[in-house]
Amino acid sequence: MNADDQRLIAASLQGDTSAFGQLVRRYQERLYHTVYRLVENADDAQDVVQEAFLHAYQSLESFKGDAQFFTWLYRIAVNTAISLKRKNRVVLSIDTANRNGEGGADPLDPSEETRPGHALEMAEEERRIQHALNRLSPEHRTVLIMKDMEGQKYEVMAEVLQVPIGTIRSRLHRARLELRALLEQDEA
Amino acid sequence: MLTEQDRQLLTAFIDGELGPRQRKAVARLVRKSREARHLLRRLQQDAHAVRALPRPALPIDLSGAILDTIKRERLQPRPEPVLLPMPRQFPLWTGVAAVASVLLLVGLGSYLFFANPWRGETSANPALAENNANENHTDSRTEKQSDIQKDEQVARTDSPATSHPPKNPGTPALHPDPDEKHPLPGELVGPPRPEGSNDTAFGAPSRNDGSVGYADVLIPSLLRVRELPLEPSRTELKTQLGKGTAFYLELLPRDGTRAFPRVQAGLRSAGIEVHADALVHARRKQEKLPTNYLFYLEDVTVEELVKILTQVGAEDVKSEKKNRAEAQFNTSHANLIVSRLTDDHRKILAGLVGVELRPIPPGTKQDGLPGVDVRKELSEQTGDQVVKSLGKPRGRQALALVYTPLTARGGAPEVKQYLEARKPVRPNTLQVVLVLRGLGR
Repeated sequence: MNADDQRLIAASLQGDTSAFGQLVRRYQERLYHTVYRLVENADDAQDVVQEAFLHAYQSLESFKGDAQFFTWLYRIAVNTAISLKRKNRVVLSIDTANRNGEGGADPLDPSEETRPGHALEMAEEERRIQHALNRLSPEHRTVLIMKDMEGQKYEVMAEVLQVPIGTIRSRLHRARLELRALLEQDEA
Repeated sequence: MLTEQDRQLLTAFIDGELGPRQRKAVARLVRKSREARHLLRRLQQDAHAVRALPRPALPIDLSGAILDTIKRERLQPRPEPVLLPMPRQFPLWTGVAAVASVLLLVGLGSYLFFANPWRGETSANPALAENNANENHTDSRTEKQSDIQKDEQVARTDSPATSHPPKNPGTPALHPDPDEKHPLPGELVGPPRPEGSNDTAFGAPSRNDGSVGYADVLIPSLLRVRELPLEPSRTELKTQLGKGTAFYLELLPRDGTRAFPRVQAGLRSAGIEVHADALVHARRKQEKLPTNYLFYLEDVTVEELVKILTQVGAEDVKSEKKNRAEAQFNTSHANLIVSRLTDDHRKILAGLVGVELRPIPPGTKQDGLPGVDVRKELSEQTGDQVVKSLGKPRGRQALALVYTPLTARGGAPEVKQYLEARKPVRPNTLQVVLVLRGLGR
């Protein structure tokens, strides 16, 4: 484990909350990227990240340091996000489309291409992909995002999600085929 | 035609986790199969598209809010890990199989129940079974028919809106399932079927007379808050609210925190004070942090609720005149959704406040636990708090919470105080969950 993380964790356990604040600042952005794609909107993503850090703080003593701190934190955040997705499935909510349109966070580099037509096409493509991702089950979406966006290895994914590597492999297989079928439906 | 194994090979190739031998197998496959080439290309495009999704920047630094929460809630690292919801450990098919088995059993049970015209004889009620055993000596079909007619007569008088547990639990065939749930005192039952309602849908044949039954469905209404002073919108809202006793409303302002005072003013106009917990106060100070809020109110009439929402719209217009940027509901789309409060909404509410909230029926002497579903477990602490509150008179209040299904506030002192102050509701009043959900500035 990173020596600096180890020092900050030890200080946090001694009651130095500012040390935990440093850990938050160090990892919040990275965590937010993943969670945002899992939960579909900026507000929920921020809530999940906050909850994940608060859970992590309360469970800090159980962190043995045999994995990277971020991997451990990431596991908490992903599970919290999946849990939120399951809860939200039953709630009447009509704002997803709006959030993806008006209320969502801006891309990091919105000025990458300035051609208006190109921007529109990109936005449409992004909407299409995100829409298809949203229709996957939380488990399938999670593995796809972890693999394709985060570039995680099977091994790390298995550790984060606490399932065997074979399960990760088969979930990814099903998720890719399902995503393909959804996009084809959309194209038709 | 690709086999499942071929597809697995291709998706694993996209994952980038194949060994040299398997990569060679993929190369062979795509060389000989056009379908494999096509699928591989599309899978690569999909993976690329997911990878290319923009990575949103975190709008604000969360460390301040997190450290504030740690301080305010006096959180400490605990020796035991905090239990987290874990992903499902079982494959999906086990869930599907379980659901299928249950459906099969229910279907079979229903078939047996409905197909047997003499179901009164086979009741699981032991008293009834004994009774029937005695009657079997007479073996008179006429007598049995007569019994059933009597039962049906009794059942017809037992209207759904006023159904009570049977006075004589042993009465045959009145409630053939002895475990059938009956409303408990204090539990709200569904409203009677509205006259001429066009929101009803045909359902399964009625159990009693074989006629077509109905399912009471409320189609959500989409309205604009600022149009409520106008007669058509107000009438539509009134009509909708007249169709039930418990509602889930969503108000969709640009920003939840900025719209909060509008709702507060609306509630005040109806003599209802907002009782907010500490987290609400903290979030209202952090305007940059997008926050959704939930208001729980009860003992409010249809007219009062219409007035409250109209006032919200009026306040918004007023604030816009002062400063255009302050307007929260000047959107072109609908920003008020009215729907029935479902069991799922109730579960979420119960998760937030720690107990299941049901209005205390009018005229209830508060010698029980006010407003708390007696069938639900109640923590000792909450129970004590509630018992202490018996007979405490107070004005009407609405409970305001930060609305995130992740943040249970059941232990918050403000929530306990609110529970303590609850009183029996007036007749014909509504139970309302109002969610203020910001859509982004």
